[in-house]
Amino acid sequence: MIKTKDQSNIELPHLLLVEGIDDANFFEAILNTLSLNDVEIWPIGGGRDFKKRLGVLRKLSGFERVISIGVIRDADTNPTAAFDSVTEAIRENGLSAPASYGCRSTETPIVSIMILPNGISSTGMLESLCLKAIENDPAMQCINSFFDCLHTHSVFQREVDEDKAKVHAFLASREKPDKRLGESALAGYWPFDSEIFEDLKRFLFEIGNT
Amino acid sequence: MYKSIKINNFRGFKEFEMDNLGRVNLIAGVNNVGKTALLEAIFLHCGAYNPALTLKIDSFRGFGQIHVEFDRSRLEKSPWDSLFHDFDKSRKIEINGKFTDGSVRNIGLQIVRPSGESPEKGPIIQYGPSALKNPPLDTENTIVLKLNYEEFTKKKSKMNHGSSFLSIGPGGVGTPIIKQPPFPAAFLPARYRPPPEEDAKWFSDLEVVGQHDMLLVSLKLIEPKLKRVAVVATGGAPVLFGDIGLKQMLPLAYMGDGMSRFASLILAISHSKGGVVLIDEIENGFHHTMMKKVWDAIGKVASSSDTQIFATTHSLECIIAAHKAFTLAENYDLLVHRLNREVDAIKDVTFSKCDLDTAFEMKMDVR
Repeated sequence: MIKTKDQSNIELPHLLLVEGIDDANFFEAILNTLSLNDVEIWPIGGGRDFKKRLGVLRKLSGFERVISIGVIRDADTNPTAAFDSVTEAIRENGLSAPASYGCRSTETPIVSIMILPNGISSTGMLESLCLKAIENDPAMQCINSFFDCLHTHSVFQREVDEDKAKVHAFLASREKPDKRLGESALAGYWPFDSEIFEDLKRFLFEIGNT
Repeated sequence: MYKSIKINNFRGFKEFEMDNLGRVNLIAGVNNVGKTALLEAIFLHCGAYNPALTLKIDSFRGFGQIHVEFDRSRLEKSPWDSLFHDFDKSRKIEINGKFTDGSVRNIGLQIVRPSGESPEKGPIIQYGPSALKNPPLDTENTIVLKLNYEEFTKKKSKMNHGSSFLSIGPGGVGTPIIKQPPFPAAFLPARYRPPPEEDAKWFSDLEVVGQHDMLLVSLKLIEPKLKRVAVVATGGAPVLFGDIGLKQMLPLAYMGDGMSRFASLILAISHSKGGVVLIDEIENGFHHTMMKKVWDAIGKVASSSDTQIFATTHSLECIIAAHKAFTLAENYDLLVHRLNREVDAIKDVTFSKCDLDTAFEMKMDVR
């Protein structure tokens, strides 16, 4: 259940904190495949917003009944900094944070953190993970050629966002070409049975079953 | 001004503390969590030395008459039983307040028998349907509520303590003459309207000191046609009338419930200089589009009168209106408190300006 409507408070015992509403849609699609119905998804932003909004979230009615909290964050260019920023915000809001990446905190609510696409060992984002899951899709050959062409002509400037751009190109090749990542996940465009999503699904499963 | 308040063994509060109080405190929370009880506890604490206020808060809840059956076999019952948490009269009610100037006052309430600490030492006033000149305080049928207080007044650098007693017996209610409370306080209950003559009296008091325009300026926010407010003696009682440009002036009550309630609010605040006003369900009688204007006026009058406000609400619109009004005011004097029921205790969760900015941006419910 995504909490973005008016007058939201906390109703379920498990929280998943993600950056934006499109991320929330994406993770809701995976939770649906796992039949995890007791997880509330709060798109509370990253960076400074995360710390500030977590501070208010923990004051909402129902927070005292929360058992577990999962936080998913993009690694971007510095996965360690992403992890440290989340743990610092958690601690500064009076919650217990995992001692290191891959651990869970020891006090209730139990907090766990996942940095995408692949923990603190690689840079990237959710879209990087998605691209790995479709690397054998026929559309990818065309898309990679297209981006090679862009690079050859020095047209594409923002290499840091290349995975995001490739996901958009992939989605442009689908039946309804105007969907964003989260919407496309809800529409079933992504192969969640791929082993690429296994770690992510395990992470979500643990949150929903703590 | 209160800085913090601690309540033990009163109504639904076993142990409760609010340690972050501001000029205007808006209290939210689900039904039956203790919002009105919190106001009652603060009201008793404001009264400081007066155990008879325990009967007054019951009348605010709609219990106009005290009914006590003096049946020897049922003496365990008293009119104050519901004040005690879980009806446990073996534990004393304690209400402790700290003030921003460094002063402290603690009061305790307990039911005692007339023997031992006897109230006959002080002069007795009594009232009741069959009042006797001297209530039979030494009989076994008399129930006595003892209030003890201890206070440290920073200004005088002085400790002070004492007790007062309220007795109820077959002869009526007996209460000792008590000293004046340290500062004025007013309680505006959700379902009870102050008598019109009380508003008229408070308005007259403002007029004496040349501050009566405060009411007109405030009321004009919700009735721009209002030109003048005056006290008119009608039917033997003074009543507030307003001039909105008709052939003759109208009682404020004829301009709607909201208008007369708003007048009562403003008069209570301006009359309680340096004190406290407690307002239960502040949104009652006001259309939600008026709430920001109501808060504008409350903020200004509270600040100029140095009055601290405690108000309860169920309305998110009311909280949003208050936040908007104080965001635009000279000082952001608002704190929102939500009373949260957690396992076997009630906790205060306080929302600052930044918290409210974030919560409303995220469409979170702070009630």
